[in-house]
Amino acid sequence: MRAPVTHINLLQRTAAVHTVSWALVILLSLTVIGTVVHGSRLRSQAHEAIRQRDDVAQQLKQLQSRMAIQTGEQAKSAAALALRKEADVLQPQAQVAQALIDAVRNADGGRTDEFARPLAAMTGLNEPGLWLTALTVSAGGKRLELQGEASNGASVLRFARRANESLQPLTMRLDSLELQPAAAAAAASGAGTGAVSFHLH
Amino acid sequence: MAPEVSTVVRMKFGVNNKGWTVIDCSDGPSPCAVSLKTAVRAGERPQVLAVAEQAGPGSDSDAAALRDLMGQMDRSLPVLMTLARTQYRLRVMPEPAVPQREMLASLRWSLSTEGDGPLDDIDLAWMRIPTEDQLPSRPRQLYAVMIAKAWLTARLGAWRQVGVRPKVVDIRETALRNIAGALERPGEGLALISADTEGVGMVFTHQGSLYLDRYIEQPLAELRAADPETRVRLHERIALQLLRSIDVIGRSYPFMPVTRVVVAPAPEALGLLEYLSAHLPLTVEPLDLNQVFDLTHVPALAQSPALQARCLVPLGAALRSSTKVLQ
Repeated sequence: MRAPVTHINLLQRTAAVHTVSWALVILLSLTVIGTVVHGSRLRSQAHEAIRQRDDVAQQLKQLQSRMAIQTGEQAKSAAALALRKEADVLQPQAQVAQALIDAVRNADGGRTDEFARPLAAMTGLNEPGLWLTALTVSAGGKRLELQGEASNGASVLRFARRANESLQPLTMRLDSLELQPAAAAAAASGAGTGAVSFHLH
Repeated sequence: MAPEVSTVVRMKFGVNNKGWTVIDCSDGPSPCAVSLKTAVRAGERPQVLAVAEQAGPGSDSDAAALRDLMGQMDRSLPVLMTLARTQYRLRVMPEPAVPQREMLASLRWSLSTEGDGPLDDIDLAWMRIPTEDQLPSRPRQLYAVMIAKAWLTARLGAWRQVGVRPKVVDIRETALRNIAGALERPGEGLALISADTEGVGMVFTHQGSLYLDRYIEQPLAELRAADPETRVRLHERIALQLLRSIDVIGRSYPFMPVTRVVVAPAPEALGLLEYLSAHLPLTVEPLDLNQVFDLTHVPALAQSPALQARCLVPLGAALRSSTKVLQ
């Protein structure tokens, strides 16, 4: 095996050393610059990410508050609807109670049993959209007249049928029905709304 | 015809492995440049890509001439500059017994004590003459190369003006050593004789390393003008110097017997090869550059012994990236 051959370079100690030095300096500078640039990019990216996170958090908070408001409004609306339905349901009963009070006021003294039975039969009836404006018991409790208003004619027919079923044990029967458009509603709208006033006897 | 030397080209890691563009600053009238691609596979020869010689008289420091010369070369290769023989000094010195990193400082001090002038103004390089394996008890020697710093700086500055920035500055003896090393057979010492316009150079190599160099100043013009009798006397002088050198080698380096002399192409065929072949008790062979280089891309070089003689040094210098391993 031959020894490696030596090659000389008279340039080595003049320019080459400087070249290597400069190359190292440049490499070091580039490394530092690259690190600084990369670090600043990373820092700006981190800041941007934090800003986006804060924005998203703010948007989420606003959305949550809007959702809470909407939920509250919906709850209020639901409660109002429920109240309205309840009022619709209770209104005929209130009408019946008022009619009962009127009947009691008009009744003959000491003869409460005669009209108590038809009144009791009537208080069990409940037809949504229908309310009574007058209830008259006469002929010793043998004759019953009902006056009222309803949102439509079908409600009146259902009420009449159920009233006859309730009065059947008392051997009483409502045979006549008079229907006419509700005067107040017709006058208010100027056209037919389906509301009717009725007279049952 | 000499048998071809079986070679493997081994590439060194971390050095230029592509090749070189070499510009030769000779003392002669015609600057010369070659581009050579280093062989990368076993069995390949380094490929000479381009050769250019500046026609007519001129100075290699002339910007236009240098630009013209480089225009014909492969600019992608690193540039190597070979110096003219008058631009540097080469001498053999005892190797200072100091660590390698202190070698230059020690050599500077040694040279200054021998009255070699103001050494702050020179650049210095050195290469060992390897004898430690064969003659371990013998004091070691080395070649020291000195060049005037101011001259080299001025030359490099002038070249830089035209965009030429050499990465290596080399000398003629190492360039010729590279060629001789490529021709060596296992165990032999080889003498390579090369003539230029100013004289005849000799290098003696063993295992690719330079052991001895000689230069006989013998202007070509004088040889050309000489009558036959004078020419024989001049050839005899060269042969005598060669035999003395071989004798020095035999006594100083007995492990490298010089039994073969290779004579490089000369600028003009004036009979040196024939004279040495006829009068030396050694094998004398002409140098066939095809043994060392692939010349297929430069037919002008392949066909012109004069151009081969002119380009011998840059071609040899361009071999510095290849290492031949004898098999």
